[in-house]
Amino acid sequence: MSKNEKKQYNITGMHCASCALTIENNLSGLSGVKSANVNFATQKATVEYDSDDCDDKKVIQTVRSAGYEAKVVAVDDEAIDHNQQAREQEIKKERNLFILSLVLSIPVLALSMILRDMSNISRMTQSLLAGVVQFYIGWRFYRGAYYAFKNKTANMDTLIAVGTSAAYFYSLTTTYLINGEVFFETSALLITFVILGKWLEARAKGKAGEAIKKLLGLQAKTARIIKNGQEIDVPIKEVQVGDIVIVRPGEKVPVDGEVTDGHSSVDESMISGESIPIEKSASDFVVGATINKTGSFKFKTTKIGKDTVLSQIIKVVEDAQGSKAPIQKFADTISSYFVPTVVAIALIAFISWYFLFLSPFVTALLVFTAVLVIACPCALGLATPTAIIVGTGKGAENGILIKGGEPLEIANKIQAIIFDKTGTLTEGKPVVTDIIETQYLSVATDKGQNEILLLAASLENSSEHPLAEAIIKKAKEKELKLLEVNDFRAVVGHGVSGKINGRQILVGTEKLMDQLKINTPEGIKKQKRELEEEGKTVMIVAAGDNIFGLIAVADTLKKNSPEAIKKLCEMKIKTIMITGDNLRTAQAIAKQVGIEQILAEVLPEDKANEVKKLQQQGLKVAMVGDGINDAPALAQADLGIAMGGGTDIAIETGGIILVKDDLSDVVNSIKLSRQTMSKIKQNMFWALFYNSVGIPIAFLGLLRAEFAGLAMALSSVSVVINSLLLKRKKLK
Amino acid sequence: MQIIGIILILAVIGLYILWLWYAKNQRGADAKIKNNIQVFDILVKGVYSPGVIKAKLDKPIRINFRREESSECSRFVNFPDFKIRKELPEDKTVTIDIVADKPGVFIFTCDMSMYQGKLIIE
Repeated sequence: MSKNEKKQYNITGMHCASCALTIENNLSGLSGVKSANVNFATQKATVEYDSDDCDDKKVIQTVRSAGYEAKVVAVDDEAIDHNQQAREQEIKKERNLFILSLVLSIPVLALSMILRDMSNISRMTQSLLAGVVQFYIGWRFYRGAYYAFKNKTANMDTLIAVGTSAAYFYSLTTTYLINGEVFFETSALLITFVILGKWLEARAKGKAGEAIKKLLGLQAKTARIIKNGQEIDVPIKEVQVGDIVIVRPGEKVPVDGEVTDGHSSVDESMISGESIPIEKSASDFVVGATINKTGSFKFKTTKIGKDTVLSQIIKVVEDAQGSKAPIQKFADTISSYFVPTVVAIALIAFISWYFLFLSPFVTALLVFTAVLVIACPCALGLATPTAIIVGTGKGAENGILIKGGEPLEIANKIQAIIFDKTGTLTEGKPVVTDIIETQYLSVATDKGQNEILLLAASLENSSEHPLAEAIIKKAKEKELKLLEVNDFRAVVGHGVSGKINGRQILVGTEKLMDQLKINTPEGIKKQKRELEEEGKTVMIVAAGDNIFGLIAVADTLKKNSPEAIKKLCEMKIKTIMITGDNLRTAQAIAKQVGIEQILAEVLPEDKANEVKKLQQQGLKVAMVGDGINDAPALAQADLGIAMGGGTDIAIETGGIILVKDDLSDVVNSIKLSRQTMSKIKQNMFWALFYNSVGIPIAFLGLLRAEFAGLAMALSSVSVVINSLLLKRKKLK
Repeated sequence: MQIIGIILILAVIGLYILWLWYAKNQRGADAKIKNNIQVFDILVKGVYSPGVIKAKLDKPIRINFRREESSECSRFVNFPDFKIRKELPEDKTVTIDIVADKPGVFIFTCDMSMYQGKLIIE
């Protein structure tokens, strides 16, 4: 059965509308094609064909033989592409309008200001040229003003339409009806400058949003997968979860997955900002868009499409860039009163000059125009969004994903940061360091130790705690065969129990032993204390009522932890560690890492409560964790910073997500937030300062209207450029 | 002459105050009720029209935005209080659903705040 398919292709190489026609004719002649439509403006072809007679390859081949290139448009890319194109067209349109406006305004300026030609012909020529500027190029201002008026309000367009109309129509009257000066250059140049401002603004806004474009560009286009025993290249869209993908040296990892075979180092800098390539071998996780360096490997796809780390990053950044910071509310309030207030001031200026100071009508009119056009609510409106766009974009490039204006603003006010110990300050990969038996406190034997390890490991095999992992790993190293456990029970935060060979076995804290009224001998307690003072976590292994021995586990600190904590102290931010460990172990770790305050023996479910307690002391609190067992605490904190990004939970719960597993990014994200906020404040200040100085100057008649217009245009541009400067600031 | 001037200035100030009063006491467009949902249609063209909408507490609100212009400014609409930001493609209707669970005046704006509207929930 034949099947109709309608597909879109991106066409490159077209430079005129007739190119589009050529391609269209060629495609229409292809067998199986029902309709072909090539749009020059969007650079896209839409082809409908019968899938029995035609396919993508034939379409692409036909386009190629006509001298152009075609590519299938991926559905997801389409919308984003479209936005990008719309934006670029907008910029182009503004530029063309500006050039046209300038070309028309220059003769007006030459005639009136340079040649000072006051003849009737000169005036009439000026009125025509300025008329085109006024009504063709400036039409949008009238239109905007009209819609605003219809809704009983006024906007930016009202200011410009009224201001330029005043100058233009007055000059028109003096040209054709009454005697007097003409000011066609004022209205024409004014519109030219405002359009210039719009063009520069659109361009700069495009620059500010480049981060997204860069991220999108990282996406691989094809993947080499193994299908039916053969290696084939397929478009990225066709890769399925579970496919085995092959990556050769120098190639891009197409999607996310788990390495099954091979060994290589992978450059992950585009995702995490980490410049040193990461070693990857079997069971390691690889991320799409990263670049394979040295070896070849195979991996099993785990995430595709919008679920990949890259897609998630793009989504977070995109959402963030449009979000508003709470500080923007202030600007919004001012904006809502702005235009009517300015109109009132302009009217008062006119009346004062004409009726009170008895100056000529023309002077009063020009002051009126200048006041209207120098006022610029745009700068105020641009102050926050542009800084946020640049700030979040810069963050993304460095592996710091800020979810929006709100977390950004809060990060700037943080007074205390709570760190989860395991997996955040430490590697989260604890190892067994000591095994101690009670009966033979002084003379340790392998046999006794192995028995303790075997019992503990068998029990912990059913647990998911990171400490359990360490014990099981050790047991495996010693090639112990784990025993069967019945009646397994986990006491969260305290330990586990179960029956092995009919005996009740316990592995847990001293508290658990106390609760169960199992007596811990003094000697054991002393040994335990000593180990804990070294920063080790110690578990007691008991059988029935007897303590069998101790297992000590230690976790190594992350390389950058002490450095990061030190920097935070320098930034006058209080650092706090939260852990389920007992106080002694916690103190030892805190000392190593340089942290000030400890919250020890906190059960996972109480972490959020501890955060709340600190907030009740009036502190703005940030919580750093991996989002796995501390999600409620991350959510409770004023700012949740989720580490080891890319996981769904981290992205869900964090206000800031750190892609890299590196604590120095906590420092960097606070720094970036501070930099961005200070940009926002600078922008706000300039926008307000500019208006509050500009309006009085115009009121006093010290500024010609066209320069007032130029100043207005440049004020918006200066705000955007100030935001762009953020890109250059160093984080490190 | 001066006296006329002063009178005119006072008139302008009077009108301005009148506008402030008007802006503050704007009644706001009422909703059409469909299946117990309060529905508003807002046209985005130079401004949000209507610019002020009034809804009742505890009844779902649905706002249909239709953007009939190509101006870059109005491409997104934001409801910062509800953490909503939506793109408004040209000549397409975009629906935004809001849960009216708190009374108050909530501003909605474009990205640069040049377009402003008010949602009053009472």
